Amino acid sequence: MPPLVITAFSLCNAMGMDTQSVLAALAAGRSGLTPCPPHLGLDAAVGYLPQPVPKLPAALAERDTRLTRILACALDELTPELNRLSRRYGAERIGVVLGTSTGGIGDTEYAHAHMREHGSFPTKFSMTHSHALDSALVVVRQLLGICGPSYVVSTACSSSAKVLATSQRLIGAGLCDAVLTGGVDSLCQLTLRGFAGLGLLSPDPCRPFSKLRNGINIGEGAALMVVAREGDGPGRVLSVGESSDAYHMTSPHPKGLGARLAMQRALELGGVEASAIDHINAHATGTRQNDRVEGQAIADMFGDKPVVATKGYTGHMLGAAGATEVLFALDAITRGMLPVCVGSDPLDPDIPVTVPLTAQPHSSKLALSNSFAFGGSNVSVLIGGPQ
Amino acid sequence: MTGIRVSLAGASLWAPGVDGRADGADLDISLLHPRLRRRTSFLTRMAVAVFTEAVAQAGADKQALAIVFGSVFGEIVTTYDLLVQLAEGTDESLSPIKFHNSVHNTAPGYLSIACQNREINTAITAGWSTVAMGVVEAATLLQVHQSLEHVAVVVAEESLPKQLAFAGRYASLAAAFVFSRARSDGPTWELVRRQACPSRGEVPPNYEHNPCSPAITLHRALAEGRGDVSLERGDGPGWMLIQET
Repeated sequence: MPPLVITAFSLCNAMGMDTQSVLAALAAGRSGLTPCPPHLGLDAAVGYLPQPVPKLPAALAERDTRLTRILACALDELTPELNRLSRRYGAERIGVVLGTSTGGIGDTEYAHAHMREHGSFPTKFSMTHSHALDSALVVVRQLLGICGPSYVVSTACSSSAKVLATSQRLIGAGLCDAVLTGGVDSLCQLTLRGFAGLGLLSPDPCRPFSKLRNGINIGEGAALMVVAREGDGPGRVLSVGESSDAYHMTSPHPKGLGARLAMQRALELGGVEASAIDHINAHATGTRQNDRVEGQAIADMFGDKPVVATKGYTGHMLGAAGATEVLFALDAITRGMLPVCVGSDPLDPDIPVTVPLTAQPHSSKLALSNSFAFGGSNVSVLIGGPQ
Repeated sequence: MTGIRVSLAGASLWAPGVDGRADGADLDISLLHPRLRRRTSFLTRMAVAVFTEAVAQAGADKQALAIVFGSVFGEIVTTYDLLVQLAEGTDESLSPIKFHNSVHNTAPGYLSIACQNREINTAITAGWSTVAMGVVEAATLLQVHQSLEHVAVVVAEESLPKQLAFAGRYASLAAAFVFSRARSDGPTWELVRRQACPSRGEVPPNYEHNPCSPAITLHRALAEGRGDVSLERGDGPGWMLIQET
């Protein structure tokens, strides 16, 4: 399959409300993690957006949720590029493939609590417009008029890396000339308390690959990309390796079999050897087991190539994590600098990977970005700079 | 025209009262390990049952096919249980099993474990176009991954819990379609996008509001091996499979 050109992208997360402020924080080594806001009521560090998110326009009031607001916020930066591509190819040739794990569940939590207190759901609440994952697609269609193939991919924490595989297929098979893709998730009780139930939530900022790591933080935000079959842009998606662990719903295969398979498939589909990879953006959530298994798999395949972990900046953005970290890996290629891995010092000596503990110059032409998820879903994305 | 051509190797529909399926029909979930059967929702059990039947009919290698799972509300019954736990506020934590069983890709996750399948699997949703986009995803997988022989599209939609069904109720259904690249020894279809997609065939009233109900008409058309079939609800623009002569 031909590579995808990333013609434009946008970021919005705990580090900042727009791309420029997020990438400035990454370059400065400034984490966006903060104590959990009082309305979520948990003793945990989280990646919460630093400013209020504007409401949707009145015409979209019935689909106005925290998730669609975050989406619209990130979409704003991409509107000129999407309008340009719509004019060039036709709106029906532009696809929309978005990843999310939460959808509008945060608003459903509120509506359900309202129902228990008052006996009925709020009049504004609707299962199809507020709760359903695909409401985000309607918001994009109405804001931009795009009408190519549109769907949501929801494979938990690999969702917004998997969307790049889907986008590459849609373009490779000739159904689209460009695709708006990426992911969006919002903080909510269900994910916070769900991970607490699994015993994986850290009260403190997470420490991926550190011997002091103690679990994950949940984050929110969006990472969107416009990918096209041709054109100019800051980077390229060369290939996407996908696999299933076929082992357990939440625990990784103990030897990282699925993770290795995803990375191997990314290399094979991209037509490159492991030696050609200049750095790896690891999934690295900060849990004991996941970091150990992934670290060993990376070390076995790539030796001492630098491994970057960025969840100490954003928390685990779940359905938006994959796309966010693809763009962080691209930023490292663009700037020729690896970011400091916040929270990783002191490293776990039992994980044999080379993790930058200070920001450092590094000439990267090709990088892999890993995302792993419940259900044993594994994705590894091969990224390069402009051709 | 997209130029993407497919054949159907196997199909299964679980929608009691439709196409000879008896009301109260049992679900064959023998594919799941007994320990996992107790842990899975009705949605996942429906998905496992139709997958089992369609894959057997296709004679496909269940370890080597790709799986595309489609649903609009996914594991909504499990999710509702978690909402109740949250509202009752008895504990900071939620049930870990219910939590991991609430994700949209629960069914393909269990299927991959049950089949020891390490191929691509995905979970999608697109509202009333979920069935259509599931077929699009399968067709593009076959088109670009030449090593894949079969792709199973599994759609499943469970009745909403009554507390959430304030906008209307519908019956649960599931369907599976195992596609291959177009073969010369049977009917073939081309995937196309049309400005008007005339629906053919009635959907029984109790399934009318089920957003995966286009699977009922798709199953009829493909299983009978004849006719063009809309993948969408209604007659507007959307995706169709056009039978080749």
